[in-house]
Amino acid sequence: MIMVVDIAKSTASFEKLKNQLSQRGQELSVRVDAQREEVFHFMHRI
Amino acid sequence: MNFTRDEIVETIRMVQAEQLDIRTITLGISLRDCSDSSISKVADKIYDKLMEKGSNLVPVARQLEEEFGIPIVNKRIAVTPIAMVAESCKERDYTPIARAMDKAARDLGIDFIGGFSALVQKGFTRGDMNLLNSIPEALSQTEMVCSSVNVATSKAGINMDAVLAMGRIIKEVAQLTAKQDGIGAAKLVVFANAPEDNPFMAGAFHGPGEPETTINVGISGPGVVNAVVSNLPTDADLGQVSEAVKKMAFKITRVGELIGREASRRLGVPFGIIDLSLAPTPSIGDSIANILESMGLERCGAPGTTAALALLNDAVKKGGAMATSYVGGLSGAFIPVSEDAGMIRAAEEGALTLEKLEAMTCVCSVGLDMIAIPGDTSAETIAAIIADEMAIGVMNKKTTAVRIIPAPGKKAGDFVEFGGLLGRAPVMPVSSFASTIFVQRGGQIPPPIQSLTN
Repeated sequence: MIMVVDIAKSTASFEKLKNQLSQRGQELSVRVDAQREEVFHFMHRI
Repeated sequence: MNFTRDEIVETIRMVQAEQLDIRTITLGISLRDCSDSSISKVADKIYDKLMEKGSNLVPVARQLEEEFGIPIVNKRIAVTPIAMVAESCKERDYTPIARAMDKAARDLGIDFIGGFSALVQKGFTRGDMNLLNSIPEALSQTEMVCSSVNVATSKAGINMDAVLAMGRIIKEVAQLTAKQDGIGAAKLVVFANAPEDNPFMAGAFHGPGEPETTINVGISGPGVVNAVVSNLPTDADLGQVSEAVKKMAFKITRVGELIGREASRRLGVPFGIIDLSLAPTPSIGDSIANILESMGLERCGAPGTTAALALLNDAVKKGGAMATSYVGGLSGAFIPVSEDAGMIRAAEEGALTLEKLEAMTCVCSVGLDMIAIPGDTSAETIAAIIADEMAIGVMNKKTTAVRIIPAPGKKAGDFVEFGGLLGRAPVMPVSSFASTIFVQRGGQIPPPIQSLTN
């Protein structure tokens, strides 16, 4: 599943959020990754 | 944001399954203001400047890895060639400077520091001579210091006195680090047409024409390119292979551009260049040889290898050049034997020989790289191997280099183990015919007619 999320109002830093998501994923036996949008933009758009 | 599902999945797969990473962020630092007549003062000034300018490099690189999810394998520093910085010292042994560089590297937490270097393509100054004579001790007493000597350019020709000196120095370095299979020689590279903004080791130095500080990024990604070539149908023609590699090179380079721009902004250091080099690692699946094999060669080194490598190198440049504003450094596929699992296998099985590797260096960067040869190879033969490689660079107006390890006590067929990114290598046989009189003639091989471009 892929989800686009606006974290502008997140109280946690991106790093913290990424770690929390990954940890929660482990508890649920799934892999949860968070990736900043710029990487996709740079790679797939000129 | 407007991305397709496939685009997102492709990026994630490249990082997680195909080992896409940034090979290195290299911070170039000018040491031109560190000279003094006392070597201990120079060493102190260098240490202080490295600690001041380099303090944020590792923290920022870690931040970027975490935030963007792209591993940055090495963090490195390149400095002004030490022969220039130490020229005014009254002492002749420059080892204390290497030790200061090594200490700074350790204290900063970086992986390598390059620039224990001299540019001697047309002759030696006093500082150049002192630096060359200090290389064996400097490399055997330090861990992270890398050294390079430019002995030839297309404009100046080949300094054959320097070539012979480097043959002897390489032997000495290997002998002083014999307990580790001659690892010192793995940190020493001899160049023709050395680039001044190369982020890759062992050849990185901060050229005299560079600014005070600069960020140069070396991309990687053989695994990603191999995946795209392997996934092509077997009846895809070589034009289609080139096109697929080109598109992938664009994407890889864009990641480098993103990380480079961001590192430059956060460090407050101008962004220099992206080096469009496919750099392998010893891990399985991160091999240049495997890409060539995926194109249809039974083993790297088989007839057709030079053509396949030329195609690969050209496609990487074409795709990469579109993806970044400033291309520099070496920018070409690397073929370091010990650092590439596919090359190791090919050499072990006899598919890849020293002579074939020499031919391959005509169409890619860097040159004869990370090749172990028998420990009893003479300095003159090593010098002659260097001379051949320099001639390829000088005549074709390209960078070439030699990083060769005469492994003490080892003979052809034995293995050397360096560990980490430097990998392991089979000792390759060298021609037993002598070149002694030729290299002992010395002097300067003149530059070719095609260098008269003005």
